[in-house]
Amino acid sequence: MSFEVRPGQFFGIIGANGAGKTTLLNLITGYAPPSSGTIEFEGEPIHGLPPYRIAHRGIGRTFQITQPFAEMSVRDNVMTGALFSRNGARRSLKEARAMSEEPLRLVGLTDQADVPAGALTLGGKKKLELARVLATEPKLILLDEVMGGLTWGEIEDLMSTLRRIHAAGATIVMIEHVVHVIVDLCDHVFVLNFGRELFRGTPQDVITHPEVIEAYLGKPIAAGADA
Amino acid sequence: MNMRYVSVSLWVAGLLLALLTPVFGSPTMVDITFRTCSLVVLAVSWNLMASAGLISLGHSAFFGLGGYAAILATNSAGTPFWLSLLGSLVAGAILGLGLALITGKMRGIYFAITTLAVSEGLRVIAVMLPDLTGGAKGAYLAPDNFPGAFTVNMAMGIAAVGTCLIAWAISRSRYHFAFRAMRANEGASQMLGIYPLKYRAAITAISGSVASLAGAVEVWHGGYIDPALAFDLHITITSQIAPILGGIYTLSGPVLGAVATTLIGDATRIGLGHIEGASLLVFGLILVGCVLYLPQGIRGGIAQFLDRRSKRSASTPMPADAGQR
Repeated sequence: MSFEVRPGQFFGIIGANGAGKTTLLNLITGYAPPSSGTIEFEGEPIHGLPPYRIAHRGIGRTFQITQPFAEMSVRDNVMTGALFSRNGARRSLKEARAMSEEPLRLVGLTDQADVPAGALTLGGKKKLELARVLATEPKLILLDEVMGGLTWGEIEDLMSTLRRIHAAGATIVMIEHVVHVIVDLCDHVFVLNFGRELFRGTPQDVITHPEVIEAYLGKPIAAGADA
Repeated sequence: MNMRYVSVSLWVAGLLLALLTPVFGSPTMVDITFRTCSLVVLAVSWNLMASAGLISLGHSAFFGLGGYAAILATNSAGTPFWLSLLGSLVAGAILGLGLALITGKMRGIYFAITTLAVSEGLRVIAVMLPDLTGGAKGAYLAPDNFPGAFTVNMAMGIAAVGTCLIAWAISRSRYHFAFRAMRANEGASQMLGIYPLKYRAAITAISGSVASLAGAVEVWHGGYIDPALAFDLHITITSQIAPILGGIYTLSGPVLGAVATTLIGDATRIGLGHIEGASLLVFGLILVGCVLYLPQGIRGGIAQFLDRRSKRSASTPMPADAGQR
């Protein structure tokens, strides 16, 4: 499997359960070093680097199973992102605090900034994951099912947030089960099946491609076969 | 009367007690203050590691190493009092750094067991090297350099105040963010750019050095050391009982806990000392009761009490982060 994400792309990755989407993100972010092959970012190899060094290169990531720092307040969670990222070492706590305002506002958590992160709902925790990543000022954002567990209203809100982030210059790679989100947001879609590439193309190509439909829904039932 | 007011007045009271008791106190008070300050240092030190998710089951390793470093430096090279304390600080920091490097990514119970092993290992080494350490018979401090009881008592007071200041400075720095993030989830913290080993090494070095300092001052105070005394399991246990009793992961909790542990221990010993085993039994029961009824420690209990009172008098909401300090 080989693919490339260009700066400024909004790149979607879909695939059935167990297709290897999260594994792919783990490989890129250093949580699972690849046994073979190469991964490059901005022309430099990054495979085998530990996660914190990947983060310092400007790659941010959210986790499918949210990983909030439960005892810290929502704001402190986001501040942590601002403090330890690429340019974080030079930032004072005051600057980090000021920097946390914008991500909190973007995801709509400003009102809950002083609540312990563990007290948030699942949807809130997903938003916090995103806010925390945004505070690291990433060049490339990897989103692992940020929409999972959100209500339709929240999904609409988050989609417009992601559009704004993308418009501001970020490159986004998004894993998502909610297909209409991918179709609406992404300009390129990559379909994984059992760890291999099944298809790639524009969202319109993908949702009309027979093999993709088959992987997601199974073979169409022949008319009258089971009545 | 809010938490901030109570907290500031308690800190000031503690500071005055630690630094003025050696000057004005009666011998009994000086003794109690000395032991309390020693436990404050150990408890704050233990709590610092715990705040970063590192549960130590071997704090006596630092305590004992500090004691031996001080006595060996003084007896073999005539190192004066204050310089020997500095030597113990350095020795403790080196052991702390070594511990961070050995344990690498170990967390939770694996880290805890390693610290226990380090402490036991040092005890065995101290027994096995009689030429250096005096072995199981122990070693007496050569009295030539003894700076006087007042100076030693004062040194423990300063050590306690200094340790609290270090913990306070950390709680207001970026380290506070790194440690809490690592404690919650070391894996996820890396994705925000935190290099766990760096912060682990920093906290084990700081925590180890101050715990060693306590051991060094204790040796100057008692004038004698042996492996069983230096690497006593009792040290390890009280250094974690105090912060848990007082309020783990907080600034004031370990201090409150150290005071309470010392006072409860003394009260049961004096009150029930004539009945075999009764004092320890009651001491244990009080601790169990505290853990049951004050799950967030004494500090949490005070905060809750003040919170209820202020709600009753005027229903002004407390800021959500009032429970942080």
